[in-house]
Amino acid sequence: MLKIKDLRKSYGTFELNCSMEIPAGCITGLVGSNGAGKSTTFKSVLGLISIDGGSIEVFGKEIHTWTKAEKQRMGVVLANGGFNTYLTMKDMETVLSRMYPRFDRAMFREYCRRYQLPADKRIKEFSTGMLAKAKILAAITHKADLLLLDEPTTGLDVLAREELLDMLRAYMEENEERTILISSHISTDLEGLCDDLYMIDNGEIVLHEEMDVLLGQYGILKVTQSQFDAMEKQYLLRVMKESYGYRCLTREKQFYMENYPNLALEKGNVDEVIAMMVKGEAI
Amino acid sequence: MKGLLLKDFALMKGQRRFFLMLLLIGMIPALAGGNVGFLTVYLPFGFCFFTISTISYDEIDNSLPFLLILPVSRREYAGEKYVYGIICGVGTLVLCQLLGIGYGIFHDDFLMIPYFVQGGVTAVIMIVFFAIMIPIQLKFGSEKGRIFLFAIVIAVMGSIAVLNRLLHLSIEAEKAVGFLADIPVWGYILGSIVLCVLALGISYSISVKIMEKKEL
Repeated sequence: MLKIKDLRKSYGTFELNCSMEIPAGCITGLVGSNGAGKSTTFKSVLGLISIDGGSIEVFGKEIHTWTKAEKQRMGVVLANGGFNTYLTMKDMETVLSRMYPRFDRAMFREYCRRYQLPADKRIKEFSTGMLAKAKILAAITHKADLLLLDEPTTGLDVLAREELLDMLRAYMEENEERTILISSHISTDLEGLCDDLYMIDNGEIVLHEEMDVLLGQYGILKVTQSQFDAMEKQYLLRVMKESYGYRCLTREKQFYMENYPNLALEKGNVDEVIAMMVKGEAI
Repeated sequence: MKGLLLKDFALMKGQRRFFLMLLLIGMIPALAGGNVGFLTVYLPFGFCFFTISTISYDEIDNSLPFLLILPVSRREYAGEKYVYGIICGVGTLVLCQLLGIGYGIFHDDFLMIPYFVQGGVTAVIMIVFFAIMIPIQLKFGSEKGRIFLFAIVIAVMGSIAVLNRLLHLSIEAEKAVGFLADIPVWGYILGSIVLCVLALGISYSISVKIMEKKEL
């Protein structure tokens, strides 16, 4: 559905250099700290910025060959920016219905009613949660085949985030071929939603893993110096010196559970894995 | 482009209080002094300025990147500003001209021909104004665009003053300019149309290039 190959973009000292492949029917997460390159990746895919090298294909077509038809199949949420806030949901409905042949007015109005988004109130008067929902509505109500969501849950409380994620789950259930690429620096949002995950740091992809594997097979070992010296290290991805000894990231949690039952071993989560992949040293 | 036009008309609808005030202020000299011609200039330019301000509205809250990810091309985005401006400005001008005809029916002292000439000159100036301001706004944004607008107004007024002074200093210059009185009306109309088409064409090309290079 989306193929990014050797994408390069430079901004002063920052350089983006990444490759990703998002298959149809999957929800893929892109996680990284602020300034890692998530939004730059999105903007490159959407043609909002020029690229210095590489290729980007969406629906099998290079972005410079896109026509309106490709854009009509995409729904987008941008981290910064959205529909003009001097307009209302009613205005949004009017504009989107003109631009997207598959726009579903009934669905749009139903969602506005369900999430209490007033039709005649200016968007600038919306709360942060309402604005986030409005952005998602604009993306999903024209039956897009591909959703590109750049930090759609930023600034939201737990309940609002859960509502938004439910909207996305319902959206995917309607059609198995739909695809989502969602970026966030709130990893817990992605753990319950995504099929696989790309981690980006300083413009480079540092890890790509299926979510089930990441949560099931990755683990964090906390070991003393002597334990570290004695243990098998070939399955360690990263190590970090700590005051008590070492913190180690492994992809083979089961191996260490069976062979070193006395070692302190924690289940992997996205936050810990990111921290280790970024700050840890490779063995 | 229809979607973008609808968006800008919705913005205009949201500013209806502003336009009502604009109309009421314009009506004062028209009603008090019988100066209907003032409306022919004042109202179209009021709408003209609003067209330029829709570019500023698109900058607010970073809406422009969102607009460009909708199924519109950057070329269409640029083109829509001209279409919108012409619909609003020229449309308002035509309405004002019709108002003038209506006024003229009830006032024998009302001179129709100068009123229509004034309307024609206003249309040309308005179109040339669009042609200059739209690429400036697209390139530099609303803040710097205002500075450019101010500079252009000063430059035009200054040029007129200097030209006027130079003409009066030289009899040959006055004679040279005198040929303008010999040009027939159809010549002025044709010349105005050519000027407007050229101005809009060049301006549109520049605007498209600006939009295609814009990084968001």
